[in-house]
Amino acid sequence: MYGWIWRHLPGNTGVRALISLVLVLAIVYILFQYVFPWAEPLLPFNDVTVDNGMAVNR
Amino acid sequence: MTTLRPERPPRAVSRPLPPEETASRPLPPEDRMTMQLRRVELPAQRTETGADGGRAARRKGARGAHRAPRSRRSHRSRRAAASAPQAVSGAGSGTAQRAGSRAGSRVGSRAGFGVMASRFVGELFITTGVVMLLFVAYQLWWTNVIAHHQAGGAANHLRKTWDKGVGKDRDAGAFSPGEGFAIIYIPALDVKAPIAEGTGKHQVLDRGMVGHYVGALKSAMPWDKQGNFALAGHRNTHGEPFRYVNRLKPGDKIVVETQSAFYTYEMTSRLEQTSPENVAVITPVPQGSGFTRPGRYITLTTCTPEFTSTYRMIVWGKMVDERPRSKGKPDALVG
Repeated sequence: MYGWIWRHLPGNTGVRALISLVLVLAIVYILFQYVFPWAEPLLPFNDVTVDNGMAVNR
Repeated sequence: MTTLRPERPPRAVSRPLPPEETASRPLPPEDRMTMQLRRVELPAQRTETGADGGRAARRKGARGAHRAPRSRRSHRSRRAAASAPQAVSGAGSGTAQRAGSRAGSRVGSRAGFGVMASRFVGELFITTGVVMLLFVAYQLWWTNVIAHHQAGGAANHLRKTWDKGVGKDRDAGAFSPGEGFAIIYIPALDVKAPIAEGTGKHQVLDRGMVGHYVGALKSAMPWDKQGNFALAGHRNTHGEPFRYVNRLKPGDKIVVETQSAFYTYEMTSRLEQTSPENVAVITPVPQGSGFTRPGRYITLTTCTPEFTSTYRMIVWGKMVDERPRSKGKPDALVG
């Protein structure tokens, strides 16, 4: 998968490394900005608010 | 990583082998596996440039091994066996050697599919692991960065609104959920966070703000003649304003700043942990706090133990000072 991507990137090694870096940063940005905030309430790790305890169970 | 490889094989090829290795000519299965896995990682140019370890050479060697007289055969396949483990070649060397006499290229391409599939699955696993690590970083670090930013913005906005003199903080019905109306200071913990109406996760708590209980659990406001000003805040992540409330000692000051006044509370007692359903701790005369008569109290609620949401930690305090904003900061915030 990554090998395939690497082979299909244009340019020489330096240019490819630069493009790869940009791609990785873009993916991390998308994860932090959109995916994780969406996934957070669905995961059981962080039901830390009193809202989930006191208020709702009331 | 692949570009670092090509230096090695020539050495391996030229090195003579001990006789016992020559004897075990049909390679053991592990070696075959190694060759199959390595084969794809390696740069394709090597096939063209490499004089010794290339695919063509190896296939020729394998074919030779099948047909050639005994002496030549042993020489060729020894070379192939020696170069293969660290081999550098384009594609199809391992299997091509194994089944070289029949239809090397066809078998090679079929094995290539299996290798590619397993590589894909492996990369998928690695990616999943990296994403999980990123999620941990997001939870423990990034949410705090964001929440501090948002809370700082909310506090500044609050100050501006107060300076403009918009709204009256004594009108208790005026605050809509999520709206900030005060700032809490805990000097002992170096905490400063805006207080907003409601304890909604998305609207209030996840923005690094402290929530004021409303609705079914409605609690008093600081300016009420008596009552319990009950607040909730994150213990971890999202600004974690109440992370260290367990370090508060009796006598530590908690200051609430509103549009018209500073209200100073003094911490009196703490409940290490209680069930999340125990709402008696935020009633006007909180159960377990030691208070027996109605008065002007403050209750801080947060999660405990840290990084879980199993129980709630409760901290109580009572008001000791009310100071109009016109008279400046209370002593607790000076120095």
